[in-house]
Amino acid sequence: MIKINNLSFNYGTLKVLKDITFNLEKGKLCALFGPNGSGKSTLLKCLAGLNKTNDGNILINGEVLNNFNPKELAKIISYVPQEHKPPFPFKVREIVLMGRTPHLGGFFNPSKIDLDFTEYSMNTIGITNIADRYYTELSGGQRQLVLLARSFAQNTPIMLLDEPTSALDFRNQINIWKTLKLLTSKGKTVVVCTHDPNYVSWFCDTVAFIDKGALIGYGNAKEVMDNDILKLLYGDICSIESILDMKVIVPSIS
Amino acid sequence: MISDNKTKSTFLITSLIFLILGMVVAVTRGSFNIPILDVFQAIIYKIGIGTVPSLDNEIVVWQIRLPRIFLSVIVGVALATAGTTYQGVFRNPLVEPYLLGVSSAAAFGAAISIVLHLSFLSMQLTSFVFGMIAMIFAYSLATVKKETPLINLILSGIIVSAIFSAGLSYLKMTAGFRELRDLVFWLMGGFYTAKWGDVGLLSVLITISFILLWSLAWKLNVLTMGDQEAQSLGVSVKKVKAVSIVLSTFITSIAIGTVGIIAWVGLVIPHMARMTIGPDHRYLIPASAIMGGLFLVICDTLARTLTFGEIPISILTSVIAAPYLIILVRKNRNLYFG
Repeated sequence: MIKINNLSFNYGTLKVLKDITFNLEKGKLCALFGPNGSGKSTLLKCLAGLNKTNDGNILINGEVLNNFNPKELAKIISYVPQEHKPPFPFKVREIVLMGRTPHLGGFFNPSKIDLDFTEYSMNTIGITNIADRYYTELSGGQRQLVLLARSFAQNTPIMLLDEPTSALDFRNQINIWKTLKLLTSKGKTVVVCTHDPNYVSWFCDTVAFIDKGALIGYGNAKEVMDNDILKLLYGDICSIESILDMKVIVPSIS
Repeated sequence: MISDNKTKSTFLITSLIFLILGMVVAVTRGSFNIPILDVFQAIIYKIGIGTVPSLDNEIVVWQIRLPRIFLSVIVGVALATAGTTYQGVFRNPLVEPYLLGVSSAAAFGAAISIVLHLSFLSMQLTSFVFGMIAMIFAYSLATVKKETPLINLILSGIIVSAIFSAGLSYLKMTAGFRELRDLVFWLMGGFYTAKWGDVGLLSVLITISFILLWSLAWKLNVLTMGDQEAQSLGVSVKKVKAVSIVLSTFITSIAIGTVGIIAWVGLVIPHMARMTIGPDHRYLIPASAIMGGLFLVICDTLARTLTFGEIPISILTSVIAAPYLIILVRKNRNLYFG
């Protein structure tokens, strides 16, 4: 589905990503995992076509990513940024409707299908109750849910999410991960940047470990998430325990 | 704020009716009032029906008031539409062509045309050329590492504005006596020189630009989310930005090139419109345009009827708009200052 070949990316003279190569399979939930400033979000933006790569390339279904125009790409890949506050008070419903942009025709009047899809997306993510509120007045967590619903409304085979659960309460975190899992079971490919090793081992199919801009490990999340790699990333601060057949990462007590 | 789209459409139609009513009232008012029926008679006689109106009425209605009223409406439409677009594209409710130095540059352009005795059409042309130069200059000055923070934009707008104001002062200094008089009158801004020729030219150009900008409305909505997000939602960001900035600079410049600098309309009217109808550009752009037209018709009618002489229109627009903006900014501090 997505092939990343020898990808490098610089911000000016600062090297952020170095020679990254791996493949993402269709219908899998993949985590990009690593410490702060490791380059996860940068990699995600490269996958979304927002950062133009300096070296190497990305292939989507065999076609080079840079050859797509924005509209074509937006029908294949949706991108959920970290939440932020835009300057104008749009309603939640209008924000979610923006997800339909690549599917709209010439004069940008949404059809009934677009409106229905908007409602359906809000329903799936569980934000119908705030549909008529102003996006700018919501809490950070609610805004994340709205962005997620927008990406869902975009209805793309590939979804990229940048820390979608960072501001959510525990219930919503679990709900979102379950929703993502459900989406992959329906054939979507989902890539998520995340900080939380537990969610990676509980929900993700595959995980790519990014440290200092390099890929230091990639594979099945159940198998590759182990004490060695955590030690490599974080040092001696945590360890993996097993509870009810699930891996739980706990702080090391010393 | 109006929230559902049906009410928004109703609001647009209602305000359009108010605009037309405003225009009709404006024709009847002036240094002497003409009854509405006589106005009607003078107008339909031009089209070829009805009886001959009195000569006075015909001249006043047809040659003085009507072109002036149409000009004020079309200029109001231009300034308000441009302001709305700028605010959307730059993602800030405080930006308008005036702030980016476009207005001073356009004034400088028009002044060159006056001082050098270029023909009248070229006054709009020189305004546009210098308006574009100012906009590109301010924008590239403000852009650091592909980002354009608002504070940079405002500062570079001030710089560009200062440069062109200096240029304008130099032109005033070197201008001959007659040119200087023309220049000073023109700079005060106003619709008293309105001719049908200007009205025709501006109507065509501004209407076309307005329709093109309106057709970009949904993309402008998406653009307010930020460049990268807009791109990920399938908008060709650079193209949409370039087209909408060039078109808005174009209509601002030709409007300024024709009637001089009219302050505040481009900033305050989009605000009022957004407060009333919300930020969705599909409704905001036409609402802003209609309100801009209505605002200038009212101001211009007041300008020519309040006293025996004529008050420069910018005095009126400032007196009305500035307090409104002060209240607005104080009420919504965090909206503007993060």
